[in-house]
Amino acid sequence: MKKNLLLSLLNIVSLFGNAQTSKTIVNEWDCHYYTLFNLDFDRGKDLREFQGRLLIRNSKSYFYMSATEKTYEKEDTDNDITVMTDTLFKVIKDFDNNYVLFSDILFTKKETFYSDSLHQMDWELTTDKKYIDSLECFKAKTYFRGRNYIAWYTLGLAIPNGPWKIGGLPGLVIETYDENKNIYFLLKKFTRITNNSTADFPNVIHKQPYSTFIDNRYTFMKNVSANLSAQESGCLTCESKSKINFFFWEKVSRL
Amino acid sequence: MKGITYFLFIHWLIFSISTQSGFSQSHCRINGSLITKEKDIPIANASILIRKPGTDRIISFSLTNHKGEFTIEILLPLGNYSLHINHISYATEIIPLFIDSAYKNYKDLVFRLSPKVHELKDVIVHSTPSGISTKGDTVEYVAKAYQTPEVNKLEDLLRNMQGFAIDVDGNISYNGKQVEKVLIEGEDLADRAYKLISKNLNAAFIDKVQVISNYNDDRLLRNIEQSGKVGINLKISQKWLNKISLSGEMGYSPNGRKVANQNSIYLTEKMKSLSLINYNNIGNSSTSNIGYFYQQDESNQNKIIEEADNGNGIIQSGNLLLPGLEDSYKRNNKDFSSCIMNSWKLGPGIKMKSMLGFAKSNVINTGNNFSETLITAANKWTIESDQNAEFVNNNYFARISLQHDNGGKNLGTYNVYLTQANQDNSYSNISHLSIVDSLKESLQNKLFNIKFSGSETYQNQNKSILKIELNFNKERSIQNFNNQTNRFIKYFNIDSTYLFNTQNLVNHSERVNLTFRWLRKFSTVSYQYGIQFRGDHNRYTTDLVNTSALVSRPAIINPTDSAKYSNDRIGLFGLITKKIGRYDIITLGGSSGLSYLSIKNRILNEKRYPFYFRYFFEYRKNITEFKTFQFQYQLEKSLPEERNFHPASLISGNASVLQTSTQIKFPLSNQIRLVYLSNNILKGTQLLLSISHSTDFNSNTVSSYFSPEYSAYMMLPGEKSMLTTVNVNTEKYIKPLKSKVKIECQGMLAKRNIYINSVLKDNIYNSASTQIKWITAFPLPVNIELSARGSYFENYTAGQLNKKNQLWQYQGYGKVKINFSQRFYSSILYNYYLLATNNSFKKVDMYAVLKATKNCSISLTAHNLFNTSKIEQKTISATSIDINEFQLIQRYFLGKISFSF
Repeated sequence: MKKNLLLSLLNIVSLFGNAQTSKTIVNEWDCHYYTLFNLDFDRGKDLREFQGRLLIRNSKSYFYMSATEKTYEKEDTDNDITVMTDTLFKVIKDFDNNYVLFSDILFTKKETFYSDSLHQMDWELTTDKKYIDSLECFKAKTYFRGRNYIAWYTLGLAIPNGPWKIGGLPGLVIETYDENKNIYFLLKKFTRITNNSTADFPNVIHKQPYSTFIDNRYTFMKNVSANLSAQESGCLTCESKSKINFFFWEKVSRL
Repeated sequence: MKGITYFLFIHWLIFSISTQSGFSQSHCRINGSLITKEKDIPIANASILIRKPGTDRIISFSLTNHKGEFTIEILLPLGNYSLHINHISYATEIIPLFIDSAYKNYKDLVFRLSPKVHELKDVIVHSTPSGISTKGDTVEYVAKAYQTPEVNKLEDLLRNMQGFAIDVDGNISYNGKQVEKVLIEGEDLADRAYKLISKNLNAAFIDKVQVISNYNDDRLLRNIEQSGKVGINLKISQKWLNKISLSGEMGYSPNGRKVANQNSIYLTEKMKSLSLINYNNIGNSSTSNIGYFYQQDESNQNKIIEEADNGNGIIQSGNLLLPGLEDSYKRNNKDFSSCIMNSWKLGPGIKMKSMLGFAKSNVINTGNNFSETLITAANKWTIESDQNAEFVNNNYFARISLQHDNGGKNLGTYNVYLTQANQDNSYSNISHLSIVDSLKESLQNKLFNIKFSGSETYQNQNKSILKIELNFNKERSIQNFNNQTNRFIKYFNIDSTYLFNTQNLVNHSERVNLTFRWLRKFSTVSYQYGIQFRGDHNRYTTDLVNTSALVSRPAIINPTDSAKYSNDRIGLFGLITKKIGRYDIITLGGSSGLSYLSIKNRILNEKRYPFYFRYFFEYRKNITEFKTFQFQYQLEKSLPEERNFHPASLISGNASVLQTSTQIKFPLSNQIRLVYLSNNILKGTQLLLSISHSTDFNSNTVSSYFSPEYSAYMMLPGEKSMLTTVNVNTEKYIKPLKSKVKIECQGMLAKRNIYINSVLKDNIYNSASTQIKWITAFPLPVNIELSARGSYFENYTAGQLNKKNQLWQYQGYGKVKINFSQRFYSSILYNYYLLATNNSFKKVDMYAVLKATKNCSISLTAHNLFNTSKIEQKTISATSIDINEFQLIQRYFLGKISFSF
């Protein structure tokens, strides 16, 4: 371990006896993740840096990735249409009701929330162990929606949560990535939620089932493909027939 | 801490252990709940682990739900285990677990947890991510997905890929940006003459097409300079590598039309080679013509400094221009060309490249022309003429390059180019009406050019970069022009009895350019600055011999005339680009310097020290992902162009006189450009609005100078000219119709304040055109494209509206596309042009191709099915109307086979 924790994991506070037991345990945490996301996933490499943030309030959590100055330090390639809002991968987890809500924009500029089952990953726990700074972390693997993920979690922070939809492990996910490192999260800071750090959880009034999400994707793909087929070529021997490949982070298909 | 429940649980475990034995594995089920010790409040999101004592192994785990309940069900080998209960806010509990029977069922366990005595506080992790590369700006297309039957060459393949556009001249753009280079397996074989590759390389060779944004030849500049250029890298299929691979096509028509071409590649780690051979007499361009190399546009490569370009001879024989109807129409042609490009790795970081080419082109055109020139209300000059032209070109080209780049902080490139072009053109023109004239001309042109370019780039420790570039260009052209005419009889200062004129022109030009450039990038700011030394020197000598048809009269040899142009300059330049947030980019730059200018010919003998400058500002805002707004402003004071100062009274093509500039003008120009682009390819909508306005002062304008008696092409001094252009393009995919509709509108307003017949006049030229296209995307084997365009042109001299030239033109085409399978494609193209009142023509072409095998396809083309023999094109210029009648290539049916192996 090259560096020590700047702040100790444990701060001894004298909370013995009735003074402690009379308090209600507040389980509110603010986790900051260093995040890299390959905007060209499955096609090339265009890794951009984001700030990932996981806010935990008792049985609910809210994760989002926000762009920073560094995200745009690198020029957008003119070859790509980069669709990016200020926040990406918004995920609300509800542990009481066992579901997640995630947002999708789908080029409509209108944010829609869809519901999905909480922590569907079937984790394979391994005995691989490493220290991330002073945190003892264990390795777990899973295959989820078309990608193999690796997560390093710590039992020292016994919160079964993690960035994005990742979670459901015995401890907080400290580092996680897919096997091709198209997405990468590394915990940088873990604090109690303070008045300064609180962010409002989105107030989701309308949510749609996951099946609707898949249906919308298919409809969208169909429309775009038809549009791109309507290219003029003008010349005799050329038949312009544009095709488009769609790249979605979660690879899902209709049942 | 240990509650009564826990006590009971331990006893129960001990009891269980004592009563079970004799099994190797146990089906173990544990369920229970967690509650707080004091208030029996359920504890959610705690983890319950089964671990093997003394190891890190977690055998199984479960999480408590919102009621604090958990269940673990697992098959376990008999033995000792421990149950760990973890929660972020409660003290961890570890309970020994001994499994000794085939079935263990621990039901309704209740654990009471106490809050942690140590409150967890902030954790800051100091660890850096590893194995992550942030390099890479490449988009990749898998070629196979775009290999439709009609795809033959790389150009066809790109046309099918979304984002690419290829114009009629073969220029490739990607998302609106011009492609700079086409690389093969990362190797730049053709330099900027990428059409040699895109028009010739068989698409069957290609595995992947990679688009490289912000392309830069110079590795060290890639992360600093926003080149805005796009490069394409072609990945070749594995099966074509490490061996000589050939592809080609041969076509034949019963009436003697033929086409043949072949290309071969040899790509290994140490050597890469591409060779091309082409022949056709079907009116196509000779697509491996090395002329692409030196015809490439090198202008405007840099926003603030000028780069040296190639010169050319200035005399031309009579020229029969082909109609600009989006296709080339040649009556007869024979084009042959061949080219080979190689690169070798000579050692670590050292590479050598070569290119050799030869092209021979023979084009014969015939046509008739009617020209009406309005000079004044009283003077109208009309000519009718029958024209024949033959152009024979022989071009040779060689290039050799050396590069060193060992991946460190220094790299360099050195190139030597040799070009020789020989032209042998002849032209005849029989005119009548206002001028009765029989004209025969021939021109022999020999151009020889040697060019050297070298550059070295250094990066220092603080990552700032110095780039030194040296260019030297030496050109010699010899032009021999013979002219037999009676046009000069009355109107020039030439003895009217001399009918045969022979003119020799020799031109030497040298250009040297040395630039030192420093570049650096800080966060979102990149900048460059430098100094440029440049010298342009140009010399002409000419002599003219006038010979009478009468043997008794002696020939007159005009004294040798000469002209000299010298311009040496030193200038400073700088450019800064700042990215503001995500959306805004501001670029500001400028260059200025002092020059020594010397011009000497029969009319002028002047030496001056003019100051020149160019300033550039650009603001670009990405309003959203799909909407961009761009504002550009440029102000420039430039030096006189050397090509405008040559010996006086040169005789040139079409029996005209090429006049030298009589004044030294320093043009001042400014340009404003506004572009709004909203392009959502995914929603199928696009809107482009572009407005540009430029004003030029003091510019010389190449113009035809007409009088009832004679014509001359000359540099007319102008006071002021203005040009405003407006473009509006929009398209929308209409879902219910399964069709895309495109509307394109262009408008141009031009006003030139120039001296005509020594009188300052405003010439006004306005034009507008609108095109509507409808393209279907039915889920059927048959689809159509329909297009209609209307254009309006007007031209007049201010105050003479009654002499206004007006012209309406209409054009339409319809195309039926038939595609029954991946192996067969057919199309019928119908073109209709209404070029002027009572002047229209139709043309139908048909095409069908069958991909017989993976490496072989057969096609049939029916060209000009209705055998339209000729077309007429009416054009208007500043003071005239021209109607040209062209003979078209005759109908032919061409069968063609394409192969690769």
